[in-house]
Amino acid sequence: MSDSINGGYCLSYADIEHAYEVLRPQIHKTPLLQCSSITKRTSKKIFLKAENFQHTGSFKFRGALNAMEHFKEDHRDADTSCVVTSSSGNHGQALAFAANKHGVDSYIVMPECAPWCKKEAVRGYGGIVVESGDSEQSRYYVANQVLKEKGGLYIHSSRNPRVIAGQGTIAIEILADNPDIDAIIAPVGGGGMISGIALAAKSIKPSIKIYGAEPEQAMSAYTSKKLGKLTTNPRLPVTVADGVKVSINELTWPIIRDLVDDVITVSENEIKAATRLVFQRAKLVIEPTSGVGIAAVMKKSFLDLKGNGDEVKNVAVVLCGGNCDMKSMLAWY
Amino acid sequence: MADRLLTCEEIDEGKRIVESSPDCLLTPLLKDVHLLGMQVGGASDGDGRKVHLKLENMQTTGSFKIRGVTSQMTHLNKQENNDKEKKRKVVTMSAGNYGKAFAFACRKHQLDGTVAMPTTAPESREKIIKEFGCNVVRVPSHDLLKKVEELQAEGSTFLHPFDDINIIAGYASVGMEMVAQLGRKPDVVVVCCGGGGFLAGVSAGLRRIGCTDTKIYGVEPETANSMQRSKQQNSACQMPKAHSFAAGLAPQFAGTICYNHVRAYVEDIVVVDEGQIASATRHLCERGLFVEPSGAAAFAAVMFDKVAHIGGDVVIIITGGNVSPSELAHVFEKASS
Repeated sequence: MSDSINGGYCLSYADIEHAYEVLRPQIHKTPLLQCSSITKRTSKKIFLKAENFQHTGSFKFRGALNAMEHFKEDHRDADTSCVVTSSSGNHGQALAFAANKHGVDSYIVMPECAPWCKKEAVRGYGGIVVESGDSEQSRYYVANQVLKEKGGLYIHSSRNPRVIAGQGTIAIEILADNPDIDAIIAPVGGGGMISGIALAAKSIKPSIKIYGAEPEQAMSAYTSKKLGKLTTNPRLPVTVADGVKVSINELTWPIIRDLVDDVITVSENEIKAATRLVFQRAKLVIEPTSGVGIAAVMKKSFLDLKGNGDEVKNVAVVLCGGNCDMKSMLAWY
Repeated sequence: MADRLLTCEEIDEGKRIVESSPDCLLTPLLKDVHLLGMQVGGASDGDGRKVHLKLENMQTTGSFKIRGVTSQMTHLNKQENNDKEKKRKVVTMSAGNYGKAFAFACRKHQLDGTVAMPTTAPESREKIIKEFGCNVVRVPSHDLLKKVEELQAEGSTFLHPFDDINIIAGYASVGMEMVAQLGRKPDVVVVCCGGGGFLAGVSAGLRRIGCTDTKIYGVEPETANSMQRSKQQNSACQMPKAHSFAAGLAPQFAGTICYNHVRAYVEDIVVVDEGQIASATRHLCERGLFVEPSGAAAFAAVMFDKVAHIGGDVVIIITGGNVSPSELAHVFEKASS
């Protein structure tokens, strides 16, 4: 193992290793599946890290649980009576479940128009749904109201070092299962997963390449890297990949800037086709956001990414989750 | 022929054919699914069972059938072709997964194939088979055999969709693979049963590799329990009224060669109802696996405690995933829990 990467980031590899020790008995060690139907369409050997099998149906549980495991110690002088977050998706479910495990109430702010099944899922895990309007301002406003009324603390889906550390454990598992993995690619929203993975993977295997994949409609990481500075999505993106609409932030950007080798963008049709392919060939139930990573490896331009030469033979793609809203999927499937 | 069982040589040859074929994949064995939050039956405080899933839904063409078809066609091509100018002609009858695998493999084995299917079969099935370059001929169900015989008279070789020693030899590879992947002999193996070819093959493969104590169970829909009846009556029987929404598990008779193997190697046949199959299908989907109802029957039997004496290492075979999301949405409505 190399000397620890010291870039002044909000967390270190030691934090991720520690997170893994804490999380290990409570999370699923999801399988790294080989997929020949996707491998056939690329020039690399493709492995799927199936986080759709994770507790609550997505990798978010790792970060949420790590945050809850350290909740009281991290906030000794604060009000730890409850947690609040705003998420219409996987982070909301994950936090509800993780908080429930720790006997802490959770208030999940969700837009009124979020699918009923997602609200029910949050309630099923013991979370309390608080509805807001669709805009970021509305969610922010309502979340603040809840904090005022109920107290407690806000747990962001990626702007949180404990959350990022939890997501980084994905890389520890991938490399433990297959040390010959030469590259890892994952979808990027807020960047919690890609930054955790990049920090962990490069600490374990410095030669490994880390790639981010984003929808063309929501490419904050791609734009930020191109411009050399943190750049958020200009407006609320419209994409079928509903899990990656948020932009990267000031905690995840420095790691993405330094440790993510490149970012590739994919079109809506490419995301849909990739998602369909995984259903039809790999027979795995994934949400469209997971299709972003698959679409990326099947593109010709994947081979043009920095460092993605012939020496990169084995590529792991993180399937971030399987919480798909079947009804809305049927519309475009 | 009456008591014909596969010989060791035939099983080994079947395994060799499947392993060397680029068309057959080594599908994953998803281990310890009881730790992945899947409902695997048993007492709520656990009885020590460890459940693993052999994922044949991830196989080429979406079901295990390609293994049997590959074995059948390899054996056929070893025979002398009387008309060397033209491709050898083959015919089968199946609107389901066998038909799909057959059509795919005809192209690979350079065969001129025809699939006879009932007029009641959905158009989508015909489309899939034609897209592989196979001919399709539709006749009423009761005329299927007659149509096949007509085509045989015109020079086609009939490839039976399940009651064929070469198919069963191809399926034996699954029994042997799962033991190698698990790293130890399973205590229980649970398999979906339609005509019984797959159950026959898997059980023969398990015995071949030394799993003499492994208890093997077949699972049928209660409305299409031809193999269960065959076991009760001590002979392969017909069941003209067999029906199920899990269409792949509802042929109108149990295969004779299939039954011989079931009688020799299989502990018991259990049945599940429609609601249980639907529940299992939905549960697997919620847990991340795309499985067709016929492919979820064995899982349903374990989930709903239909199999006695389950314990230790239990391998359930997920046999297929050829279903569309809209078909699944309908199935979920039938779920009993």
